[in-house]
Amino acid sequence: MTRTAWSGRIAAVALGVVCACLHAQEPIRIGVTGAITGPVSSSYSPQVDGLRLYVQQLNENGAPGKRRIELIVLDDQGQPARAATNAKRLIEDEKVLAMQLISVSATYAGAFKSARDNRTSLILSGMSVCPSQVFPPNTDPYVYCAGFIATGPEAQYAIPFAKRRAREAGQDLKLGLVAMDVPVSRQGVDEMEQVARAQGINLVDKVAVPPTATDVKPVAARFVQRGANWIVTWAPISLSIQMVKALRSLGWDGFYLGASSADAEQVLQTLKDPKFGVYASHAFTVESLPVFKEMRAAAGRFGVKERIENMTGGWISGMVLEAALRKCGVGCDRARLHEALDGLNVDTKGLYPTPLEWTKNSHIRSRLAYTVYAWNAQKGQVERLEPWTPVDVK
Amino acid sequence: MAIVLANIATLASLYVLLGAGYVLVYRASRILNLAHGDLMTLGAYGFFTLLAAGAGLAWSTPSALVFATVVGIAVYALCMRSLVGYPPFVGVLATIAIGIIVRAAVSVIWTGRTQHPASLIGEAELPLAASWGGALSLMDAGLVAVAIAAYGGLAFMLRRSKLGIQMRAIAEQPLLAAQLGVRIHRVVAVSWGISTLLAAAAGIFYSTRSLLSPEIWMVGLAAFTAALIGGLGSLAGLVPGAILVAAAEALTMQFGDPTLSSAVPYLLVLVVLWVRPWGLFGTREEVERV
Repeated sequence: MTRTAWSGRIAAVALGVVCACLHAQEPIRIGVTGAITGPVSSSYSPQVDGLRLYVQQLNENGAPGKRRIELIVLDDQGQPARAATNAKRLIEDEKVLAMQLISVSATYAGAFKSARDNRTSLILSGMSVCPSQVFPPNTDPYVYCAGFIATGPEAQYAIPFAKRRAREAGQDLKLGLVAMDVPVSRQGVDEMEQVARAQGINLVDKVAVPPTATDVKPVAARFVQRGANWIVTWAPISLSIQMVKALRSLGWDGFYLGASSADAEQVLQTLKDPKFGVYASHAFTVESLPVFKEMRAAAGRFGVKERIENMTGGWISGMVLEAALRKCGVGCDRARLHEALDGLNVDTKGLYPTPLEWTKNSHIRSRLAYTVYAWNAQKGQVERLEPWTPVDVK
Repeated sequence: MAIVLANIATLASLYVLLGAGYVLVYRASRILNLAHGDLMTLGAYGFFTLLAAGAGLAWSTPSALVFATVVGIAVYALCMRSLVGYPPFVGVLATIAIGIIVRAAVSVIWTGRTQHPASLIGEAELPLAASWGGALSLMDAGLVAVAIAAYGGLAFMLRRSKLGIQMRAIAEQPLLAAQLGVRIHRVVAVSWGISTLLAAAAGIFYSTRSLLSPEIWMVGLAAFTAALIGGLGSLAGLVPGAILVAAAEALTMQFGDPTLSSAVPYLLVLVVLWVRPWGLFGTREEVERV
């Protein structure tokens, strides 16, 4: 072999080693589109902060495959067109390994299409409502839901809770249902109505309040006049706050059961109303879980000022991301990550009371558990009203 | 019945407080101030910030109102004054831009998080169902009283005070008023200040009764329909306009389909403007100018 041939071989081997090293150091790019600003940002922006915080800690402690995780975060302001553009840019231009969507349901369609077209996994996180595409049997192969909220299971829990509590209190349940006049909220309340009718509950009224309503007191008066003693809602917590205040100002003494949100715990602490509860599938900080200490420590270390209870959803999505990347292993690409997600099992350290499990046919937590949190005036703190109640996803 | 009347009275009072600002600025400068709802939000946040800083209700309220007045004067002095002489639509576009800037600034400074000023003034202790068979809360009663006082004061000022007469003169004949020595910019700046003060008062009541978020600016649009129905330049038309809009909204919510409640005021505007394009108490001359 000539001297030139030897030199060529050595150069090729050296180049290979350099390439391998470069690949190992190359960050794993994960795309995020979220409602960071805009009208609905208060529910979603803290979740993005939670995810960022988790990834910062992960990078510090040693990310999977010793490759840094780089989050590319784009703001969609909760607007469908922006979310679609963000998804396209993240998947096609930024070549992200996977995407997280932390925004309103109106933004889903465009992002889902980009994910499907490019065979890229998309994970809905935090306050993003789990859509029908993640439920079995017709699961969208590329869409997963790690978020708190799903309309059907919440109806299956909230309505029987109201019935049970009313019976325990010796009340004749007269139920009112409130939605915000947006599709997903109406769907949630329609499902509650179905459950209520199936259980023979006396449904006194069901209303959808426009998001632009100046004053909800006339709606409150409507429920008072019809004698509702329980009102259950599947709507943003801002509507629940307005409704509770309006009802109380009319002297209504019934129980108001609202949907949880990123800042629900803070809202309960602020309003201090023992008969205003929120149903939730994730733990509030009153549970004193060690993971909350971990979150608090991380927030302190990285100078994040957001309240930790508001970041829980983002932290969970960080846990999911880490578990998926570890399972995917070295040389992880979109196809392998997709395979990893299809059999993922994540212990969220109590943030969700049941493990987060996805299978090929079900991209939502297969077994959810719910409880109700409310203010306890005697103890002067938020508390869980009953043990976690499992609800099977159908 | 008491509840229905109370709801209409409360909502109409809110629209009177807010709508008076539209009327005042329009009378003085012939400009539709579409930033009014945003200036209301800014005033409410000013109030909340002072409350959160521990200033107490007695200090926070007047301070927020003074702050709002200064903001209103500054908006005129820095932005609107230079547009005098341009067609009115230029001014209207400028107020849209101001509204967007204020909205963005509010989101950046205070974030999009929902706030609860009522919780900072001992909401739990407030006898919220104090009077009128539980239909009118203490806060509602305060809103109605303030709206009546503000409206009465404004009507008196416009009719009897030198400033009010100057405002009317500017609205009717700006050139003649200037030739007679009326300091037009000063008078219009004051009308912007008073208008923003009223918006802040409305914002304080709204945020205390309900909640505070950057999105409450939309209440300004509902109040605009009340002013439009009454006749934009007519203070006398504001009250019937506000009562009509409030009644339409409240009755639809309570007895009809609440989904339609936000659309009904705009339907009312269409009907009124179809029959009387200058509004219930407006004049033909104003329509030509618009």
